[in-house]
Amino acid sequence: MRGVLDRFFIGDFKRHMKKNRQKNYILNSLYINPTGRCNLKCRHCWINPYYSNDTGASGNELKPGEIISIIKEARELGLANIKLTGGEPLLRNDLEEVFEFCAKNGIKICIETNGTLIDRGKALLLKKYNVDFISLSLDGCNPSINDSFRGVKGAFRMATDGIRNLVKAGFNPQVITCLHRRNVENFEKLAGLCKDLGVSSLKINPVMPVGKGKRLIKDKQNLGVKEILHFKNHILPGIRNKFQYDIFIHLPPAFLSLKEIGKRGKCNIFGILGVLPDGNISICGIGFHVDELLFGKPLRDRGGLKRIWRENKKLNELRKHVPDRLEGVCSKCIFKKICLGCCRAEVYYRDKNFYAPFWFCQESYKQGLFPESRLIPSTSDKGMPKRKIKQE
Amino acid sequence: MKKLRVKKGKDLIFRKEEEDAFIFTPEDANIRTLNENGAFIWEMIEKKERYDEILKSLCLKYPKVAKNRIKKDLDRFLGELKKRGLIE
Ligand code: SF4
Repeated sequence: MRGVLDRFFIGDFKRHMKKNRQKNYILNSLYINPTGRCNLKCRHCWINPYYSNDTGASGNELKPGEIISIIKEARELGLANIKLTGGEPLLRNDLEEVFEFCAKNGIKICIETNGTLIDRGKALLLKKYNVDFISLSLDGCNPSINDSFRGVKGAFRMATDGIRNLVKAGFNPQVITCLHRRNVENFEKLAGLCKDLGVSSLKINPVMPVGKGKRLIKDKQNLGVKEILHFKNHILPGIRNKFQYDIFIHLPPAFLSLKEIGKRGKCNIFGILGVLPDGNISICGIGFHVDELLFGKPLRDRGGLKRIWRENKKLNELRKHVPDRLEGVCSKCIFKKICLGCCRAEVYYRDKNFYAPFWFCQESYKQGLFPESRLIPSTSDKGMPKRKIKQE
Repeated sequence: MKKLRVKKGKDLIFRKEEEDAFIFTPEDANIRTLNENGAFIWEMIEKKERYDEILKSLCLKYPKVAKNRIKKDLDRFLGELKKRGLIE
């Protein structure tokens, strides 16, 4: 498609658009929460797990064989990958069977962990089963900042040891960090530390107004929309330049360049289900908080996972009306078909409405910080908040 | 393809930003990205410049590149726009 001189170029974004008009939806990913427990007490955690140091399964958690049964059924619906997330998934030291099953059947494994439980042996075990992608959390460049945020003394040392063990075992882990008042000043040091530890990328998440994050926002420990955008546009480029690796902030597409949109993964809500520790199914981990988004237990209920996937009312409602019924700024956004309104689970949690606008974009619109070039001009302003006109 | 114009009744939205340029078609919510030269040509099409004028401007922009190479690229690009129903 490129010209001989590679100077005139036209590219389509259609491949990024989520198809929600097909009849047979493909269940691409399972987000599996093997436990609702965690050995840290992070101040921003959206799941709000209960504190526990015990490894192994607790009474009401799915056994490895049960997790495999759900994965097997999901394969018939097109499953390509699983993400183990939490609570802290590696508190479960009995998941080798699950890794083995996935490795044998070509199902990719991704793990989101706080990294504190990855000793040398665990790192080698994960390597043995070809775990594809591991992201760990680090929220400060030193024990004082990190541990006060993560709520447990020693978390910094354990997580950095975990990264070292993974790198030694041949992984290129990603570090995920939550941007908050106390680490923003020292962010450059954190980026340098991650580079020295050998991580492949550093992903920055703003505090989400879900779970414990709400408290953090109430205490004004988060950064506001304006500060986040300032950080993205004026601080981050210098840090990225200095350390020369992939450092990025996770924001909705309206705030990203087209190149970034193409590069970053997006939540494909039409291709995911969450599996909660007790075997309940939800859109993702949101079922921890919102009972109406619990779709049933495939190991118990008639019709199993297939029935949930094909017939659940909430899922079908989402498929039918997102993105067409998105409200607020999302209804006027050029990227709504690609973005699908960012995190619909978070929106439902707050407003009990799948179609409400995503908080970051709506707030930035109100403050006159939403990029005008990403708005569809002819759409009506009905139901839109008043906004400052000045752009950043 | 001497007379070029944006497809009628299409409500195309062209946006040029600091880093990016793209054409948005509301009917299917598709986005087509353009690089700097693509955007340059598109703006000329929007201004109803004729094919010869566009070619001339490109030759002035790239004096070291042979005219027939530029012409070949331009034709290919216009073909892509036409194929996507963006010009007529
Ligand atoms: S306005 Fe809505 S659809 Fe657009 S980028 Fe933001 S969250 Fe996504």
